[in-house]
Amino acid sequence: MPLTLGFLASVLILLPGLVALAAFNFRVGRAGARRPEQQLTAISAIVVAVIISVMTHYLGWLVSEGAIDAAVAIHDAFPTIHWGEAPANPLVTVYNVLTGGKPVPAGEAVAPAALLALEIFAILGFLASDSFDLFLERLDWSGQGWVFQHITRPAENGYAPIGHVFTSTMSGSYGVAYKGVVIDTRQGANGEVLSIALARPERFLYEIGHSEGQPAGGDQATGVTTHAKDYVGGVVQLDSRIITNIVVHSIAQSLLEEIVPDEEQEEPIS
Amino acid sequence: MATIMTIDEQRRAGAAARKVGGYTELIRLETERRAAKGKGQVVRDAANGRYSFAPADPKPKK
Repeated sequence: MPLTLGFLASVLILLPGLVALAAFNFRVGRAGARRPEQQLTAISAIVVAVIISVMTHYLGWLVSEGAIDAAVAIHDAFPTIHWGEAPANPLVTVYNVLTGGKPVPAGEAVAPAALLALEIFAILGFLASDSFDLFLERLDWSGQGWVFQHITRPAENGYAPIGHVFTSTMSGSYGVAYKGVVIDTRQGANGEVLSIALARPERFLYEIGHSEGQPAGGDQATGVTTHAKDYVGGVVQLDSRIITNIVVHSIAQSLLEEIVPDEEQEEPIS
Repeated sequence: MATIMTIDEQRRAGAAARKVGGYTELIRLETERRAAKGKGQVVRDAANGRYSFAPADPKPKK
């Protein structure tokens, strides 16, 4: 029985840190370019949870202490109504319960519970905020590698990543290639690309070398000839089995807005 | 599951590519725009229908 209660108490004390970890995992897991969630080791998880919890409780203690002192000061300045005894700091109550081992009256337990709930809301609010986004922006948390540097980060900062995917569906010296906006990539556990999805792609044939008796198009020096393209529309999803290579260029959204102003936007279809 | 670009951004990129004649042209325009440090505008050549990025004239010194 003491063991169970002790465990419960530890979880309650570490709750802000655990909530922060859970919220962070949820957030990182929702990015468009994705690879399997990287497991926190038990040690690093507990270290992070303890540090965040201690800091949150300390801030909570400061805020409650300040609020109580302010209430007392206001009462001393305008002593018209007697409000009763000043309450103890909720975290002091918790500390006394944990060290004294005496049960706390229900009336006194309300304040620690409310403070814990407020701490959790503060943590969730911080993790969901733009400032946390900016704080993390440069860090490749999910280990996406080049996908992070050339697709995810440009897309988050006002660029459109244009992917040029050569596929291995070859016939003789001809192959099929797609070009479009990268909207999704999946990565395996080692960071290898499993699939890539391009929105509104154009599809064209490429040719290694060029046919006899025909004028060479494309880049003569490299010997790669590209042929006429057609617009496929919609989305094409390419699997790693048929991808030969991927080239990504980023284009500023402001340039796209200059070319297609808002009033020229086509009507939503779906 | 979120995608990297919103559906509106995808639609705009697709429309822009069609308008200027393909993603290759878009990438060329972006290169020209970077060379001009973003100052200038996209203009259409009436003779051959190609779009290009015309750098703004440097301001005359007073």
